[in-house]
Amino acid sequence: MKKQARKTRQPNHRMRWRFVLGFWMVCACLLLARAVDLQVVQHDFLAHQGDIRNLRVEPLAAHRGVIRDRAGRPLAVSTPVVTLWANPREALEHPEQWSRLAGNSVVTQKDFARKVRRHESREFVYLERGLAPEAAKQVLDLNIPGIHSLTEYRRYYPAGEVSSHVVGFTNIDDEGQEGTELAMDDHLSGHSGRKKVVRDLLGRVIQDIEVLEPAEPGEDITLSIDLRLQYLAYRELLGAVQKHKARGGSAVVVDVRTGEVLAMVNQPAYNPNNRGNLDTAALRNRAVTDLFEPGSTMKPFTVAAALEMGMVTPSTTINTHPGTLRVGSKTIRDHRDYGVIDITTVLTKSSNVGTSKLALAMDQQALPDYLERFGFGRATGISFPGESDGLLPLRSQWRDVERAALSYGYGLSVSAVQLAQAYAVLANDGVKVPLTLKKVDGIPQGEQVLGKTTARQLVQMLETVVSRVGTARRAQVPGYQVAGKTGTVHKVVAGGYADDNYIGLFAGLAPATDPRIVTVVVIDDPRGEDYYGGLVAAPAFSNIMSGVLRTLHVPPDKPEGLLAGGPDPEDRS
Amino acid sequence: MTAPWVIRFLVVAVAVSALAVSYSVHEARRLTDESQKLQQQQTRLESQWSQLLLEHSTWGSYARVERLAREELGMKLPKTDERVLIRP
Repeated sequence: MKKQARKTRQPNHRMRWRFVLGFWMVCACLLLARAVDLQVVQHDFLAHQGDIRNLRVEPLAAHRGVIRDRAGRPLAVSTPVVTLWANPREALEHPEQWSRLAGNSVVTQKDFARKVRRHESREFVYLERGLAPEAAKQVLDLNIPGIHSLTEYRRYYPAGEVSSHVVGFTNIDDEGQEGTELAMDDHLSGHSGRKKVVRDLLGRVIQDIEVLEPAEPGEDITLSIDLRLQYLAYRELLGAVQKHKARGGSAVVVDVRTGEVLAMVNQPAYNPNNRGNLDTAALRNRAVTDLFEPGSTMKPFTVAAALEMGMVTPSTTINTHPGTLRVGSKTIRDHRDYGVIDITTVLTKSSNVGTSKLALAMDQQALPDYLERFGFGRATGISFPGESDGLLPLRSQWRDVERAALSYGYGLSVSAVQLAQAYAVLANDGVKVPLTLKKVDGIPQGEQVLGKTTARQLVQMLETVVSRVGTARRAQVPGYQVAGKTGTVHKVVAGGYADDNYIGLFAGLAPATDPRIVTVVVIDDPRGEDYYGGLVAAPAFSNIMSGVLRTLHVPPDKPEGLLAGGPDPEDRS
Repeated sequence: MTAPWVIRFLVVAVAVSALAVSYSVHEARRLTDESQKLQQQQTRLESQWSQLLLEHSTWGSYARVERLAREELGMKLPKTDERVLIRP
């Protein structure tokens, strides 16, 4: 046995060696073949399958720009909210899991079943839009197949109805619908981007592969509005509108030097955060969109034209006796017979006969040309949606009646901002600076449309309107010299002028010695006892102006007024 | 088995760099995850900020401040004859 073993050992050894070697070589070949198969032949397919399991395209959120007031106080802010959506096909594969929604207050089981069943064949249906992140988490944590989330943004308006018309609002898809949100939609709205990422088994992002499309967040916009003044104007306008039972109203406050609109408010207003039962009439930014005949507030410009053409000086006298003037078939009336008065008194007493005589003494096209220079008949360009151009008729032949009517503000239509712009020209030594709703750095280049001396003379003449003998004593502001003009116009209704529907106006500036602020107040259709501009609009003007001047630290130019008294700013009901 | 020192060095270098690669990949993933978490935190803080802002504007609205000043604190605007103008 020993011998036999020794005999066979040698050849056996070699055979075994060869066998093992051969076996391993075959194995190696198989491995190599498999490696080639995986790495070369099937590489694309496998890599693709791997990517499908790990690579995800994620949206890069881009939020809408913030709208701020001039001091940086936010007026419109986007906050992330979560929208829940369902894929009905996915959801219908696991109906047994739906019961986990039982007792959930965000998405009820019943609601979910109804939505999913109704849209069986679809792959996308909204469950709930604009949820607070915590509320959405309650649902997402249940891990029900077919329920997904996406991040959207919702707009909040911290100032609410105080800034409603100026700021406007967006719809649920974050698109601007009204106001600045609409006008500046291109700047405000961002473009959401996409990026490719690798996720691990637990769904964590472990690698950013590439940004397919960079997110472009919207630009922030700083308005010229000062929220403090906006609130002040809102409060005073609301008070005036309620007191006089008016249908509506507007107030515009403008910085004379820069043309910035510091406040722009309207009644009725709305709450942009809660637009459930919204009256569409409340949506209009009346200060910009609504036109009215400016009435007596137009007289300073008639006088300005006469002064500029050298026809008269402030002390030139004019005979308004007997208080009526017949032009063509129409009789122009004053409140009473003022007799022989100087040009200043024409404004102080608001004599229709006086301005008509001035207008009739001018060349046919002179007055319309001057009015156009002040910006009437043309949009101010404050880039607000729906701004009206106003109406300044262009005629080759002006009848006497038409020219006379123009001189005291009938036969043309203006908006409150246009009126404010025109008074800003008077206040700014005759330089017309374009109005703007956006904050301006430095003083913009203006256009001299009226002589400096003429503008100064007019401001002095308008000071008399708010004096004891003028039509707007109630517009006085204690401590400051105010200049301005009242207006009371019959509203235009179908078929002519209404008998007892009026618009009460006051346009003014302060401090008169070095004008800084122009304020225009429009009270539409006051149905109380008073309707004269001097009674309904002038007190609101006075309250707004005194608050604005105090808030902006404008030094009083009539310090003796501090002791002499005057209308008490507290005294309003 | 006396390989030249260059070879020995390269063998060690390959081993070290292999470890370094796996370490840096791990580190990159960890940091990516952290940046994701921070981004989520940013979103959360943003939404918290806007909610606080809203709350702030409700409590601090000029209308409310004015009402409190007048009614609860008994404040009022000084009347004309109560003011003294100081010129620099």
